[in-house]
Amino acid sequence: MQGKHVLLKVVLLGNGGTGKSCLMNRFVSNRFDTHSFHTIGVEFLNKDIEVNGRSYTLQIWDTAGQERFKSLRTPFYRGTDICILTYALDDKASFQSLLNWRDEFLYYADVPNKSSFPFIVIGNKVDIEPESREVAYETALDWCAANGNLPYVETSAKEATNIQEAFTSAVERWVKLDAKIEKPYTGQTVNLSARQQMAESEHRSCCFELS
Amino acid sequence: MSDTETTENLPTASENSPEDDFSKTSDLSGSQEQESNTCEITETSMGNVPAKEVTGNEEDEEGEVKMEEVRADGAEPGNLSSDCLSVNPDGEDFFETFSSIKIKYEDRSTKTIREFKYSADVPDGPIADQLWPTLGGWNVDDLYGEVLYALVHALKTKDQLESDSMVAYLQQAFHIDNDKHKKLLDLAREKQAPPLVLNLEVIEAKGLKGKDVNGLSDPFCTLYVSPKQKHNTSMKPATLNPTWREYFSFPVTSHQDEVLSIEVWDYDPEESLSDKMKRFNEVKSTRGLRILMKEIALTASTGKQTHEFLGCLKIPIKNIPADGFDKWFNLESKNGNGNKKKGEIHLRMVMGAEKDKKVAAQEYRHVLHLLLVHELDEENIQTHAWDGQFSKHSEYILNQLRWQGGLLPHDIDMAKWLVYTRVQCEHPLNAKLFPPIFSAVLEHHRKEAISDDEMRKFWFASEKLLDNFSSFVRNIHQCFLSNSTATTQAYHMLKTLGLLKDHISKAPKIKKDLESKITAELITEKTENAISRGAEDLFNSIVKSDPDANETEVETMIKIGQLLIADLRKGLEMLDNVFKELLGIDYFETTYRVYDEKYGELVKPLVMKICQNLKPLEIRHDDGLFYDTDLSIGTSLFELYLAVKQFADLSVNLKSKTDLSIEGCFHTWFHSSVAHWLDIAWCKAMQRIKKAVQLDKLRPVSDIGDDSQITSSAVDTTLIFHQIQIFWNQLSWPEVEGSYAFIFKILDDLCKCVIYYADIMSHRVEEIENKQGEMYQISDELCYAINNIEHVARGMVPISERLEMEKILNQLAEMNGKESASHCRKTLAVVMDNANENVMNKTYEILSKVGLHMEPVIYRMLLEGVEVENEDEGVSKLCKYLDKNLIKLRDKLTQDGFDKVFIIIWENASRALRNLIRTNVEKRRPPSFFQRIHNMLQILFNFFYPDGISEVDSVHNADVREVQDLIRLHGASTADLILKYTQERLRLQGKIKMRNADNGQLTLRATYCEDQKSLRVEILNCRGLKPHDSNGMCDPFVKLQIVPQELYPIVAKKTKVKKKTLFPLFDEIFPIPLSPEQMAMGGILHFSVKDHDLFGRNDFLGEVFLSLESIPFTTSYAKLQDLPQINLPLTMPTEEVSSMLQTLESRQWDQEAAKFAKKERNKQAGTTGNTSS
Repeated sequence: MQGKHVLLKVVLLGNGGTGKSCLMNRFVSNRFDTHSFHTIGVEFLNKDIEVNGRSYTLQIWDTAGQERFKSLRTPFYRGTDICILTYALDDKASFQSLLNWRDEFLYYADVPNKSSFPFIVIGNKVDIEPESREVAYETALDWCAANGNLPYVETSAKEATNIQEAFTSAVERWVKLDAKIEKPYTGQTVNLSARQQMAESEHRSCCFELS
Repeated sequence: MSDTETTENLPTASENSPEDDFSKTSDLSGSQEQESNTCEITETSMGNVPAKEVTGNEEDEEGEVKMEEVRADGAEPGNLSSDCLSVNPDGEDFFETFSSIKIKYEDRSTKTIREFKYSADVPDGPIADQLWPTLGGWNVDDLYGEVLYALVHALKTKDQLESDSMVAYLQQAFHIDNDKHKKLLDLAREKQAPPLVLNLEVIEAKGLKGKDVNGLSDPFCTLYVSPKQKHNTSMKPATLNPTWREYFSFPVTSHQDEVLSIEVWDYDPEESLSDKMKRFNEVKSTRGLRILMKEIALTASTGKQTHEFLGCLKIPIKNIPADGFDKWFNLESKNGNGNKKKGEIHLRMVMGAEKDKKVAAQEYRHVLHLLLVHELDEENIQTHAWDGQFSKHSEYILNQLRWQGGLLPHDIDMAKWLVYTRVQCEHPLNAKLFPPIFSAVLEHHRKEAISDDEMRKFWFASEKLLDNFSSFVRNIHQCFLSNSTATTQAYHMLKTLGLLKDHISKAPKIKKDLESKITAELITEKTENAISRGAEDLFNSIVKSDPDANETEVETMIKIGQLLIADLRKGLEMLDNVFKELLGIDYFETTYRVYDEKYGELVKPLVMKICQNLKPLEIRHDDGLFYDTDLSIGTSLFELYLAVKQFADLSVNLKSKTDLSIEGCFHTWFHSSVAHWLDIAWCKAMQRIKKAVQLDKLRPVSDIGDDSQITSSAVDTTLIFHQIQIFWNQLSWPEVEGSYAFIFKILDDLCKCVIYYADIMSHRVEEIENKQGEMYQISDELCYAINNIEHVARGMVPISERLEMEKILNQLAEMNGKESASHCRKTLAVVMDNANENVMNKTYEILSKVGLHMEPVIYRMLLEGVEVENEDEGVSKLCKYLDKNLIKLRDKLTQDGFDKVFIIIWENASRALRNLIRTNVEKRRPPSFFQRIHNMLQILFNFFYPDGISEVDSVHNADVREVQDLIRLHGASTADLILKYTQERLRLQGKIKMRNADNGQLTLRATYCEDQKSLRVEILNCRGLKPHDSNGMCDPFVKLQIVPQELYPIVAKKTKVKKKTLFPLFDEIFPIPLSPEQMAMGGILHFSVKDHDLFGRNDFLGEVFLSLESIPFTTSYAKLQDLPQINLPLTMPTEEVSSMLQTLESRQWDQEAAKFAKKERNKQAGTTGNTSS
């Protein structure tokens, strides 16, 4: 019998224009919209993912990076399981803001153990010309190492590079740091498809155990 | 509501009032008199604040009250049991919803306004001390003597007053001591009585005769007492209704015999005959012509001027009362017989003493002033109360002065204006006095009855009045905070100013001639200035007023806001229109802008500071839900938001909203606190849901209707949702993007609440369920719990509609484009869908538990029943059990809930059956046993689905089909099973495509010769066999049989063995005698291909099945060669048929079954063995 679907709330943070919405849309519906508009406050989508033989439902919360939306996005940090810090490889400022984003998150998220919260860092827009790149791979790695050994993935939402990998490594990070399945009550949800699969697996297991 | 506190407290000490804000206003008004307060409208009562009638409970009891209130106006229907209030039985830790904050806010607003005292001061000292007029060179004693003299020689009036009391009154008013009084009285008595005059005003006449050729007259009056002294009025040409308004004065010697005569004449100038002839041309009528001819004749005959008599009137002087006449008199003919109507004349006459007019007028003014002051003092008349009505005594004295001084109306009006305006500055009078006097004076002025000198005084007084009125306007805010008649006062003041302004703008000359400072602009400027200053005064006074010791900064700010709003509303309601109408001044806008700037300056930094320091709620999870943060800041901040928002909303009354410091941007100050509030709301909601469930007795809240199947916590929880929604509506966030994000959060929070409720409700009911014994019965509580959860989930839908999501999305579409809006719409939909799915899951979970609880009971009953020979009897107990519980479920649950649980129970029943079969398979029961189970299944099935299964979603009956299959399997005989097995193999073989025939294939021909009753089978060859021997080849042969062997007891046929080949050519024909009946009995040809082994057992290479029914019927003449070759794939027994083999294997009592199964297993084993080698 398979285990229960684990529901994880994933929050995408980062400066405006780093491609958070694109990352989410690429991951959830494998689409890329060149004319995407800025996010208002927050948006969210569900996506099922299997990592190391286990099923997860990711509730992905895409936030608005602009400062004026700060008070509109921070209320949604509560109850987050994984936080993905995003910057754009061609935007040094967005890289330099990573720490602010982490701090903002920790301030509002009301997480029990701040030091071991699963963050991962995504450097988006790896599709750019090498000469427009403003943050070197090593710089990013160093930063991640210095700030709690955070996993680091470079992606391109545009060319669908490393998207699946990024989210997988996010889940792996969570498994590593926060592997308890029974979570304190934060209104977490198990969606219907998970239920159906549960029911199906139950059926299977009962029907074929005649001996 | 007492207004007795106003100016009761007139202390005896006659000090000047202390210098303060309001005495400075008299500086502003430029008063020359003693410094004193002009405004003391300090009524502390606050009667008319339009606040909600709150039950007046003090803070401590508010909790309970609010609960009820919210409930009462909530969306929930009224039939709630007392259970519902049980959430908060002891009032402790009440759920302080945001809607109750609103009530609290309004409550506080009422209280604040009631308690606020405008720090205006009451003037000190008796009124008289402040108002005592300066007599401008006059000696009080002299004046007193003059008045005494007038009284002693009083003219008679209709209501003659007792002279002594009058004198006493006068003495009091003048504050004259007795000795002086006696001396002056004696002096007055000694003086001769004053000479009298009759003052007459000829006002107008009407209905006169037309005496001239044009049908009109040119009337004038001749007046005399003695014919020696005649006066004439001016002639008014060509009219029958002349207006004169001319004054005359006649010395009167004795009252006894003199008569006033008035004659009206048609003026006839001396003109020559030729002039008259010229006029001939003008004659219009024949009557006119006749008169003209007569006139011509008269003139011609006498050559002397002759006025024509129009009428006369005689009035004996003794008939004229001292206070005179003002009425219409009928004109009579000369000889006194009044047959003919001569028309009427309007006369006004008064008796008076002959005196210097100016002196008399001045004297009159002083006495008027003194008496007024005396009266105000004596009668203790409130400010703004005196309406021009003197006491009888004063009236008498004034009349005597007026008559004896021969004062005319304009003198009186002017005196009133000068005196009243002056007194007004010290002790405000009822302002309604002013407009009529003002109009009257101007009217006199128009008639040039007033000297320039007088007019100068008039304008000077008016300037004072303007200052006084502006200072009233400046202090007008007190009037709203107190409940006085001030608005009426203001109205009259503004009306006066309006008249003034109007007059000046129409006749700007006046100003120039008289060097008056007053201009229309000055009036506007002073008034506007007064409005802004007044607004500033009020604001400062509010800010300065002592805060409560426990009051926080935010609370102070709320209080200020509430007072400003109350003031603005009153101003709007009572004054704005008046100002606009009478002076064209925008009172509200001026005031609003002052408050806007000042309040904004105060609130903005405070709110920003607080918001910046707001910590997110820390929720501890160990004990359910818990928060650490002090919520009071958040909640009082919300009150402040409401106050500021209310203030901003008032800006709709402005002409333009430009340059406002609050409206349009205040929400940005509060931005981050909204999230905080929402968090608080969510936290409290969760807490309260928890408590609601704990306290829920799980008894229906009502006996009838929808509520009869839900219990208190469901009602409470929907109520909580409602409160959150009310909060949102109250917030009415003015900005679209924020609204969207907040609605998103609210929905998300509501979803969490619903799920949380479902969670703890199911937990609660589970505890109850688990206490049940072996014989599980569905409990009422369980049904209520399910209904509760559904109710709560349903309750979310209308709330989400009332959040006005659609409106916000439409606004978003306008602002950010449709694409963005539809994006947001989708996101919100995902949130809602998630919640609904979760709730469905929850109910499903609970219902599944019902199934799980029932399953062992069902199983037990099935087990008992199956041992009984008669199935009907065996199942009846189970059916009764199911029936009872299902009926209960149907009665208690909603249709939807019942449908769900029904399917679940059916699934569990069928699962119980399956388990029964499983255990009994292990026990290796005979097929007859399974046959009984099969019958029970049928009965059960008919019990659940009397109309057949088609009506139900077949997904839920996958179980049933399997159970049926199992029963069919285990209920069948061994021969049947073997046939079924073979048939299944044949079916599976048909699914294999030739190119996928991994085990090789067999080619054959077959036909049935009907006439010879013989089946002819030709085995041609095999292809693609798998190598089996060590040389990479095999030695294949084919064995042919027909199954089932009971029906076809023939000897097995075998081909020759072909050596070392994977492509053996057999080409052997086997005739098998069979009857046509046998051909139709469903037999199957079974070809098994084996590898010949000289020493051991022959190895199995694969097998082929061919149904007898598929073989064509021919005659003996037909040649096999003409028939088509049949290519069939070789197959092995696979997993797909293993359940059948298992069944056969389980029949250990049956040798045949065991043997068959073993053989088949060997085939499988052989296969695996070979492929692995």
